[in-house]
Amino acid sequence: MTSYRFISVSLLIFCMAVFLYTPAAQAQSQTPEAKQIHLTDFAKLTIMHEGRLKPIDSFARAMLKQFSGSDKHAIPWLVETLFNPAQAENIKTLKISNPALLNMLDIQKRKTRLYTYKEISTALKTKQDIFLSVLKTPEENWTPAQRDLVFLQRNTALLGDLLSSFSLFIPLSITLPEGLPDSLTPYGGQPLTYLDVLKFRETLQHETTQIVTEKGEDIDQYSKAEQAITFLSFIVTNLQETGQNSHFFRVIPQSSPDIPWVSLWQLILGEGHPDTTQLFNHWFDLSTAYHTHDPELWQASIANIQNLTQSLGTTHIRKQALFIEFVYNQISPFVISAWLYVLCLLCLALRHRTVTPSKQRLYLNGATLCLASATLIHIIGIATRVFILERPPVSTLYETVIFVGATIAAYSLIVFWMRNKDRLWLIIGAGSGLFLTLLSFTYNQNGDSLLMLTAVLNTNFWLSTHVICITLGYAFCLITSMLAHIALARPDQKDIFKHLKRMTQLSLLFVTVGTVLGGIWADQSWGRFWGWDPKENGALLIVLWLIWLLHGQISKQMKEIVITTGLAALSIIVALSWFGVNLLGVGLHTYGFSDAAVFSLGAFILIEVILMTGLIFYRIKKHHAI
Amino acid sequence: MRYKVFIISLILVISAGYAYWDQVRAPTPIPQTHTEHASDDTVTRIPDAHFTSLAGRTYTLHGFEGRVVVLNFWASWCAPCIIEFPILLDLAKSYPEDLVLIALSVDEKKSNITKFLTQHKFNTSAQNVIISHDVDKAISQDLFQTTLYPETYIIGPDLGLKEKITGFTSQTGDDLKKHVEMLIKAH
Repeated sequence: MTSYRFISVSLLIFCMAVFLYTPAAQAQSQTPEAKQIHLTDFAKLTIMHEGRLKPIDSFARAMLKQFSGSDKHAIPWLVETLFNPAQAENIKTLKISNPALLNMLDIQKRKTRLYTYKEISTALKTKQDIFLSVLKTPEENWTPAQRDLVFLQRNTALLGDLLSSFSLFIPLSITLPEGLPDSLTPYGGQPLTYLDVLKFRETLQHETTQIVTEKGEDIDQYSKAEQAITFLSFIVTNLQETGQNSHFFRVIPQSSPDIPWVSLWQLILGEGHPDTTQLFNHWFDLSTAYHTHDPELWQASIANIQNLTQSLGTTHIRKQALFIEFVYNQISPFVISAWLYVLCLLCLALRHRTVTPSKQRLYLNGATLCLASATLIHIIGIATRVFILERPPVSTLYETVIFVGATIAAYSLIVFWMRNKDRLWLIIGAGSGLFLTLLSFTYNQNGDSLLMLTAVLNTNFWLSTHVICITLGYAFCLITSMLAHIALARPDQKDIFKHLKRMTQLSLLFVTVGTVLGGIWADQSWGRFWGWDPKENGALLIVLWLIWLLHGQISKQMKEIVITTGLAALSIIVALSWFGVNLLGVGLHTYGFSDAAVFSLGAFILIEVILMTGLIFYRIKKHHAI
Repeated sequence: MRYKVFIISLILVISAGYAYWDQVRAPTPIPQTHTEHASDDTVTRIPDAHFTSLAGRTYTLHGFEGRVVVLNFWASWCAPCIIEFPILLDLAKSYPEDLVLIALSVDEKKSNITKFLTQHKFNTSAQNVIISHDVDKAISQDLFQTTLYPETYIIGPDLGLKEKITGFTSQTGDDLKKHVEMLIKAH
């Protein structure tokens, strides 16, 4: 009992340390401009992004991850980008990993691989011809560098859109000096925003036209006041042009849940009405608070924005879900569970090296507690996603990976507790949980992992039957494969073979039922039960593989070592069906393609083949020795 | 054997249960097509504002409660506004008792408004037509967030915002007439 208490306290301290370490937990800006203001409440405000309402915190993380591959200090970065775009243009945000693309753009390679908006936009402007020629080429013929160029262009445009989100509120870099014509005198000597200039734009345009008519286009011929007038006119026209495309920072709700929210620029360019005026003014106050370093006004504006946004969009804002998503972002449950899986494996390693029974018990209890906590947090993480997204847990490749990880961990824990207390199950649970959680991180690098679904997938019935069934099948197949590896190494352990047989049957059951359900769904969605799509073929391959091995076992036509090796190779079959078919780039199920995935899958298969060959040789050698 | 039977039965029971629940549950509401109309059951009164007509008489927007108000933001330099103006005047003429046309000009110089009206010989003498200058864009920009012209709001007798028409097309006149007629009949 004492050991449990000790481990519980250690675990609690560990969890707190992880939580405090999480960069998002320190959502206070470290930038000099924002050091007086608290960013946590700003991060909780609501935004519509990718068809979903989410806290600004999620938006900032998704954006920064998309641009730079990391979401560290996302909120301070977003605040700087929105309220201080001139400074933010020089923040190294855009990532380029491809050296060929750097050569194409004449940019010097940097260790961090991060480049500023200013650098990239200037380079892209000078290489417009290359970009246009790429666009004229069919997409399937693009080289990796050309694909990265198009991707970079899109990201740069997106960042530009974000940078101009608040340009209508931000004081312009120019003030009108003395010596102005009478019509403009009231506006001289004071800081002006785009909105201020709109009030006298007609006069400004009239004066600009007059200056150009009288003195021509050579700016050196103008007086200081005339230069300022023409420059102001140019800035305002430019701002309006960029503002017209600024649709990304959608923070203004509309009267109906079916109408997408709009950005601040969209409000003043035709979407605004008296109901939204007040909200617009509060956003203006927020911008002012940032520029005047006024924490009171900042907090008051956030409170006003929060209340008014809620009241304008009461019918469709899920306040609780937004808060839970914010907490989910802060805690990062899958990171915590990954650390706990590591701790579990560490405890098991220590248990292996210790000879004292009391210490052995302590380490084993520690490992059990770590795995139990990790699995619980893993499952809570999945459940939280279900609550936030209001849909079943598995819909994207990322979600299949975290779901399979949780399933294997939970199954291993149950078998460990209910059956034989064999440490082997702790190793399987923690090892698989850790491997799959780490794998899931690689599938979560391009933005938000909490995604809305395409229309064809958006059916809760099939997502909760076919997809879950087939994903559980993958999990059981992986357990089967792991047991088979162990059976190859330890043929003397009869218990493993017994369990291996049961797992094979369970895997076959889930994969077969899942495949049939998938066929019924395909019939309803695409009008055919079976279309020899690569994904369908992959699922069929697993079914046939398992049936073949089971038949060999029942009819006793196959040697035990052949069956065990075949079951060990199941991991390769599953990997090909799970990830491999996506890399073919054909069929209706292709998603999640990346060059890195090709390499990883190849490496996995190679390692598996080497491992299995090694185990077979080891077993044959041992058998001969006996 | 019992173990297998249990697993199979469990899957069958869960699947059957879900299928049954999916049949009997209330259907998921299908999103309706978006219309430009403001929702009728959530009447938000337009903000009040003072303005002075070219004739020198002061009004408030809330002072027109009980009548349909067509609030038009326009400018003398805006070409579509010039095409739209006679259509609005005809509409006002059709409903002298039930409708008020408030045409707020966002021109920066008041003199441009009179110049415009004289030049185009528009008859604005009807009792239910009010031409006014929106000084410093205090109503258009600050209250109604209008920066593109023309923009027309139809305000119901309950002072609720019923329709907003941004810009001008050949359909604008018919749309306006349809909405105004509907509101007057409902009243």
